[in-house]
Amino acid sequence: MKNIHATTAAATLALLSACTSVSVWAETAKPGAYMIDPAHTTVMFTVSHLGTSNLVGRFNTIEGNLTLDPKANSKVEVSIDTASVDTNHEKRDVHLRGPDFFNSKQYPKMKFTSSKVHFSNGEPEKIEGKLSLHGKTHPVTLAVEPVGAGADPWGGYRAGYHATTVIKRSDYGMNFMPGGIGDDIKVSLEIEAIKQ
Amino acid sequence: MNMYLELILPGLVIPFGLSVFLFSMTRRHPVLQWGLPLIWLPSYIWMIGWPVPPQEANEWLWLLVVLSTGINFGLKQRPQQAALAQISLLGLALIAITWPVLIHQPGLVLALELLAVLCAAVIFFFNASFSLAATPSLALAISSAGLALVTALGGSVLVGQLAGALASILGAYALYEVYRRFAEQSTGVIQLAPVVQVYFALLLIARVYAEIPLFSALMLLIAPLIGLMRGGRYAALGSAVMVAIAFTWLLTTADSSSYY
Repeated sequence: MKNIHATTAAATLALLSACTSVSVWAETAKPGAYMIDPAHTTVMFTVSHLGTSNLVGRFNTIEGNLTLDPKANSKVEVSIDTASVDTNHEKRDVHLRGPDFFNSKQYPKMKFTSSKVHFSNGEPEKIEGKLSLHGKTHPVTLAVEPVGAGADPWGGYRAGYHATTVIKRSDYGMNFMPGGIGDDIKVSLEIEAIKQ
Repeated sequence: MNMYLELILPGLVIPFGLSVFLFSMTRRHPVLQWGLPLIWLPSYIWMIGWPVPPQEANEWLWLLVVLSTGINFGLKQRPQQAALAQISLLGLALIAITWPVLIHQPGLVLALELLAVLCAAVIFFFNASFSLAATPSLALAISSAGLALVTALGGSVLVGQLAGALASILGAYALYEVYRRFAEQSTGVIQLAPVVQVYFALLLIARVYAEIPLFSALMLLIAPLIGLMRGGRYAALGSAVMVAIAFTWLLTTADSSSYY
């Protein structure tokens, strides 16, 4: 009987320890430098097909850094491999990588670099910057929603964000088939970054 | 504009219309034949614009056709010098076209592909003046149409359209050669030299950037040479056979699922 009580007490104590070592992820992210975790970050895009439906695709190779501090200079830099485009159809992906669209061999990367980060209640709310894609650079504004932040089970600290924007592919010289494929591209990013 | 019109107007209707117009004009003014390659430009401008300075591979093509036509006309009395100038021009154009890949992903395969195209160019340009080809326009039109089909299905509709326009500008001339029962040239081989330049450049773009199969690209490299260099009434048939092999190879090796 004593052994059962001891075992139960030990188990309860272990469970409580485990719970406290993983924080409830509702805190405001700590200011500082973060590196994007590619394994938990997704960049998706949606584009109209023939005006009848929306095609969803993603890019699978992303890297970047965030420096977030409401009281100091903040910076966001994200780089995406255009050849990593993935629309769940290999033949279409080959076409997208080719000269008709991304021309990945000539323009292997697209890059976003922030010029200004706007904060609200300590969290980024809007990020203004420039997107370089297909040899052209244009200003872009990301609308940002914080998802969560806190310590992870491996001793690190993470912060997550949801960001969206809309760009026109024609602005970046990707004009092929305007009648069949929409010009507006909705971009959605789910970012998880690890504090450095 | 309707999607089909976007494809057909610059790729087929306009260049073929210009071909018919120029063909009728050259009956009265033969010197206009030297300007045949330039009627490809309206289609090119429709599809690509007039990019200055050129940046992407496709954007060098307008400069290639203009300079090549100038060399062809300016040095028409000096075929050896014209051949050297054309080969040098093509060499520079191919390097400009493949420059982004040369600096980011250099490799032996790319070097060999560049060399293969240059060798084909050497064979063509040093023999163009002496060619006994009976139906050069037909042979080149068949080869260009084959390139258009293989590229459009193999990886780039845009490059396919450009090649289709190249075939279309030869349309009236090719039909004349058929009408004359493959026994009379509608234009000299040497007048087609700038068209051949653009053909080689498009083929390299299709191989390097649109990644058409190597074997198909090789057949398409040989296709125009057979029809332009060989004598005999049915040399164009050789081009057609090469094109058929290239297309068949693509169909048998490529993913056949549709996504358009």
